[in-house]
Amino acid sequence: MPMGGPWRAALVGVLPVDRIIMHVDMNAFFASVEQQADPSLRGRPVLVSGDPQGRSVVSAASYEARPFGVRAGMPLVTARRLCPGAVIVRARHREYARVSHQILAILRTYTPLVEPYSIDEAFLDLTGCEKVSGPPREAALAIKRAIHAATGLTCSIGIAPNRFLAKMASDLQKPDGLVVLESSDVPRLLWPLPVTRLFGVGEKTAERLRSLGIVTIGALAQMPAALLQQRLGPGAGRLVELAWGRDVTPVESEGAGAKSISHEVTLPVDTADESRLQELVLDMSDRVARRVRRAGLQGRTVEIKLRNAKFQTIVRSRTLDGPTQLSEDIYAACLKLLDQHWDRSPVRLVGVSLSQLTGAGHGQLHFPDGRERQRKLAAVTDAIRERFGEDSLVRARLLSPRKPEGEPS
Amino acid sequence: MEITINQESLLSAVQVVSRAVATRPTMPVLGGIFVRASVPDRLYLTATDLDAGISLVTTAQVHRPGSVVLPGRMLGEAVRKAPAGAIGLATDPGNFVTTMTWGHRSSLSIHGIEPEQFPSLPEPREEWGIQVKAGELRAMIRQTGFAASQNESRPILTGLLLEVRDGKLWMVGVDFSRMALRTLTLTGQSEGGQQRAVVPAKVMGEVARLLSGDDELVHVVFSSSHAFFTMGSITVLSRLLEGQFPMYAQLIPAEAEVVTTVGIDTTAFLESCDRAALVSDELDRTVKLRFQDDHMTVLAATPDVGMLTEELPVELTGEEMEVAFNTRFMQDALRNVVTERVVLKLTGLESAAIFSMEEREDFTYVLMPLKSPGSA
Repeated sequence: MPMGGPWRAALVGVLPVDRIIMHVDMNAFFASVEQQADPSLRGRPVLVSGDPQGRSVVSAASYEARPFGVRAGMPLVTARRLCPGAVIVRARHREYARVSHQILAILRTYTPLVEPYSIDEAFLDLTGCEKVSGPPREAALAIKRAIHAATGLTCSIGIAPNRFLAKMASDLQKPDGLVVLESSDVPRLLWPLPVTRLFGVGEKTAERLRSLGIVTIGALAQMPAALLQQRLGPGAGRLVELAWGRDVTPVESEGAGAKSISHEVTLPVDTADESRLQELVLDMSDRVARRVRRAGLQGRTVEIKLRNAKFQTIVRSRTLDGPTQLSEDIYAACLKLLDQHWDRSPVRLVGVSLSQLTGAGHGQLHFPDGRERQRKLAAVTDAIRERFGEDSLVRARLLSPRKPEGEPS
Repeated sequence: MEITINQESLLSAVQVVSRAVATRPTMPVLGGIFVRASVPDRLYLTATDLDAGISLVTTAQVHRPGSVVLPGRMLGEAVRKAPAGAIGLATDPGNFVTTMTWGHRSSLSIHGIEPEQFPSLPEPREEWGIQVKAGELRAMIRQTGFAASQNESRPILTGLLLEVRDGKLWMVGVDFSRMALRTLTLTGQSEGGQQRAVVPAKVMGEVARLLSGDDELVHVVFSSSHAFFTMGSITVLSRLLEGQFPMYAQLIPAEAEVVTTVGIDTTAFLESCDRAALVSDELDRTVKLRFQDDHMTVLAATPDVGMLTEELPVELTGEEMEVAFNTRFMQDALRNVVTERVVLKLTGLESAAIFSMEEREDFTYVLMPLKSPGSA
């Protein structure tokens, strides 16, 4: 930590204090998930592709495949030629999303400020949390252990005073790396690297920089920003800032801004049948709860949306005693809302949403309420649906044979 | 009705019953105070919102007995703004217009409501009862009331349980994540049977406010549907809450589950929590307590706000431990600990902790921790 002790606390809110930003980058994510799922793939070169038979490209290559020169984005045909021994696996994006959510849920137990950057990367802002989550390096080791314990996967973590440096840091050691970068390390570690390693410099920009004689990040840092802007446009000033390791972009968690998880459906035929409406609400409560659990979140405010045949819409909400992830709680609140606010007129659209979302990994614990069975049941049904699809399990109530007016089930 | 009464004594009487006037009356008469004068020299005031009520008796010169319902807020303001000294109140029995008179030919008339419309309060039909000293009752209410739920979703939890068992009065407030329990040994009444009732914590708070002195006896009487607290000239009554009150004894961790026991200076701990509250997060008010060797480290931090680190000396037996709590929930308990030292018993990272007073067995506070980072 560049600034420690009481000074740091005293300066918070007064001067811009160095932040503690972490970048977590999963190593060969898709390929590693496949290797975890099928032990026979471990230790072998694995290529993940959208369509192993067709003319698609490599979505991910395991570390075993990389010495052969195989990289993500390469046509599958080329990859096969370079690495004939590779096992080619069809991509299962749903599974990758599930593991990704599992990892995000772990990260959210360290700080509420978690910004998923892509399916296999996230930024964390640990500023001010170091006394609670431990020193950054130890927090990083704990995160690596927790992710490995939960998923069997490894990641590279970069820790730095800003996003840009954190991302550069995680890139410096792969796989299973942990690099702490200070601003003072920039000239030694970053300047010798080619400009293409700069986050945000693509082929085109690199080409134009080369035409100005700029090949390394160090050379870029020495350029007057005004001159560069003249040649490359107004955005170039930022490149010089980055070359000096300066970046003020904040980490923004999903929770920032209005955030809710909702589900709604427009009925093929308007209905005023109460029991039919309850079934729809139950189904949507299930779906919302499932998505909330999948995102590693929990929510406190349940909202129901009803639109009648005249397109008049009402939205009514109810705040629960505490945050929940269970469809039973959402459904119970919806039933009360329906009872209070539905005027019994035919409904053409029903929606259910859960808001006031917080990470499920932290928060006030409640007294045991005898609902462990419900939570376990939710975990089991989630696991079954992850594996066999959303429709693999259906509530008996929703199997109702009544289909008045030809409504689909 | 026609009376003469001192302005100060009428004002204090009106202020007491005003607390029971319905804030959003469902019918106009419930926004009023029932005033009844009877010979010799008795003035009764009553207010109720149908769930709870306060009635009071005071003395006045009664020239003509009778009764009227006067709008509560208006009456309170009129009496408060009247000059000190004797004032008169006279009701026209035809239209219930009530005229307050003072000084020389000064008067203020208020439109009243016919007294027959005022709901009659239930009579204290005693099924069981207790007598407690005012000071004890006030302390018990303060030490348990804060833990009752504020949320109406489970109405029974907004009440305090009063239970007589084993020669003791047990008072319990329970929320979803905490419970406060206080006991008091009852003298002179120990007929074996067990009795219990749940009274809204809000009403209990009013009782605590109205209790004056320490040694005066408060008579508490319960019928099957109501509780009546009589203290001197004031009676507070309340409908009992119906429903299944939690099995509170089961929420207290057994001695065998305790892994760490810590003795801490109460004031130092409370002051530390007060400071931690400054920088703890908005949502859960997280404070981490780390117990190690002979000290406790108090940690709280919010990004972009600030952080707190404090070390307090403690007497620790058992395992070293690090656990997080909501600061507010600790402050609530510590403010009610009257002994110099507080004893904290921890049972684990995600299970209940017990706060109790050193060398006193009559106060138990059970608090669930916050699920802490890294323990997921």
